Amino acid sequence: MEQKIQELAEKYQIPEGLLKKAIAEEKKKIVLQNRKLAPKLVKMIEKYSADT
Amino acid sequence: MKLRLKEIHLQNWKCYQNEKIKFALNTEGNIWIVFGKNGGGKTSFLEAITWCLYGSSVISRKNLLQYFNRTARKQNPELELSVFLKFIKNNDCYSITRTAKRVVRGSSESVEIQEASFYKNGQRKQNSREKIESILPRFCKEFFFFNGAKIEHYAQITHTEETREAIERILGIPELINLRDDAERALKLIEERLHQASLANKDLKKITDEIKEVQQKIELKREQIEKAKQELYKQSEILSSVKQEGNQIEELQGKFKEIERLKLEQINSESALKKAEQEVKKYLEQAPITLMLDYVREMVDDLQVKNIIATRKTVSIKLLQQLLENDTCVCGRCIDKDARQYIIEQLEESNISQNRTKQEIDRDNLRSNLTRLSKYETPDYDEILDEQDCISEKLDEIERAITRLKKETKGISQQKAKEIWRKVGQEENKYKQKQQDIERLQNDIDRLKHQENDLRRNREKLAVNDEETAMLNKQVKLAEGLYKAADELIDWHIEQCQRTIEEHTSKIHHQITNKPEEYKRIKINDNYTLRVKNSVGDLLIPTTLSTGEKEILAFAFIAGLNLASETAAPLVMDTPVGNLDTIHQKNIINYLPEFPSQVILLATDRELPKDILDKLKPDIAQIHKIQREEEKDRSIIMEIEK
Repeated sequence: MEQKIQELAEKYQIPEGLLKKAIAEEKKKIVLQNRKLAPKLVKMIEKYSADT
Repeated sequence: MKLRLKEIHLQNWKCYQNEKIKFALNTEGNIWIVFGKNGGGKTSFLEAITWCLYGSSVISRKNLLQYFNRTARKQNPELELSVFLKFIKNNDCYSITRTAKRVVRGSSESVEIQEASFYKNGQRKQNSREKIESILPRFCKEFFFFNGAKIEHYAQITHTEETREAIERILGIPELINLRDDAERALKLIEERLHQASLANKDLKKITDEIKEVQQKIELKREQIEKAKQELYKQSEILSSVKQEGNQIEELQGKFKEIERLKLEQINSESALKKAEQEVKKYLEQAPITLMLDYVREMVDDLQVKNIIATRKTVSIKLLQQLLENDTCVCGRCIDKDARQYIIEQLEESNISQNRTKQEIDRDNLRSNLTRLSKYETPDYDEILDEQDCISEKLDEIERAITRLKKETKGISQQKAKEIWRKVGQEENKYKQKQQDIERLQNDIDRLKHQENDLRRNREKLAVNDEETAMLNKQVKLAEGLYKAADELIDWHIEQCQRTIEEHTSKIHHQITNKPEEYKRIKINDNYTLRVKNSVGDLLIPTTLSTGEKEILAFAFIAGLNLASETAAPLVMDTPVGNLDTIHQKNIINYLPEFPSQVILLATDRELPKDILDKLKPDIAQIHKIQREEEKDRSIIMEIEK
């Protein structure tokens, strides 16, 4: 999985950290009916786009 | 590290008043056995675990009224029952308690159930349902709490949407699907911001509108493709079922041919039997010949002697007649008067015995007949009768086979077979049509995506002129990348998991089935339905297997799933091998030490007799026994020596 994440991050030109963090967030919220993770992802994207 | 059950405490739960089992986890073995007689409380034990975890979704409020301990209920009608479970995983301790109270109002009674309490390492957590779901998802309960008595249910274990979700949950697929969906939502949010920011720029606005339009078209096509995929799945099920029916009829066609062949053989055998019977009859009629053969031969010899004498006599007469006619003797002398007289007397005497000569002719005929009879060869009666028996037995066998085959093919006609194959052809065409629809929709989506990418590139060129739109465009690219990466990761992960489960399930199934030569491997379809590949390459659907084989298949799949998953849980098996034949029983018991997580067996002593227990001994962690105290109407649980 780790290797695949790295490969996909390179392929789609996104930071590996962003993909890993997003997966970790989804795992944490998996049991919630109302995850509301899209705004959180937007924030993460804003942060990563500002950093790069 | 897998989740393991450390402790269970039952209060006023069915036959248990206050029973606690502590599972010693610091041992090498992975198998815990709880022995109990029929009606002793084994199933109640399993029910207590599932109720504590999932409450009313497994035992309805109304049914729960019957779960309060009878004796304690008499003393206190408003009794409370509770189940406490303690699990260990990665040095974390999870405690779950669920309580229910019996409420009596006049003549009516009801139950008040409290929400389960959930503690992690001694700290109470809110939203206990979600927390329980996070360690033991409800949909997955069938995979962890296995009731051998309900094995028919397991035949359909991978055929429900609920089960498909459960499998994906165990494999960690929903979080990736959620990520893809959330990334798509995030992309839309950012694009909307970009749209707002580009309102001032006419060209940028135009291109953003065009992108939106293309996206809407893609969305529409996606919905259509999703619908088409569902239809394709349904169609594949229909096709598979019709094909199965066709194959069964094809098998019956072979039986029809066999009946025809047997009927021909029956006619030949009947004629052979008739011939054999006639032969036997003929030989039986000739049986006296054999008995008289020695006497006949004696008679022939006797008649032969008499014949020789008679011949000699005839020759003598002829000689005497010649002497009379010639007047001279053979020595040349003349025959005198006395001699002539003597010859005449002799000839007269011979004429007197003319009648006797007739008798001799008859005797000669008799001798000739008897000589022929004396050459009679005695047949081998045993051989003739054996041959008759053989043909008769073969005929019986043919008749039995015809009766059996006729019974098996009852109600099936050539016409029906043709109809089924025509239906197979129709369903195959429908399936191909749906596949083509999906392909066409996918091509449309690809074309639209290509168009979208071109528009995005153009927008990127225009967006760089403004700081805000440039930044938003960068964010769009990241969100889009995140979405695409998640989408690809899902396909990759599902493929990986399916391959891993397929490998594990096939290996385990091969190890535990009683037909390892016939059943070569297990195939797991995209929708997680199972097929058994046999030695001739056919894929069998589980419904065609016997009840025991279905249980074996379900067990192999559950074990394979546990091996492929990071969230495996204890396997609690009630009546684990009760419905299996001895080979399956032996194989499954032999496999249990290799099972990748904690195994708790709720069994009768008949299911696990001493020889099996001795074999399992090195892998048994503890043995408990449910003791029924009939006079107190309760069951108690105690640890016994291994």
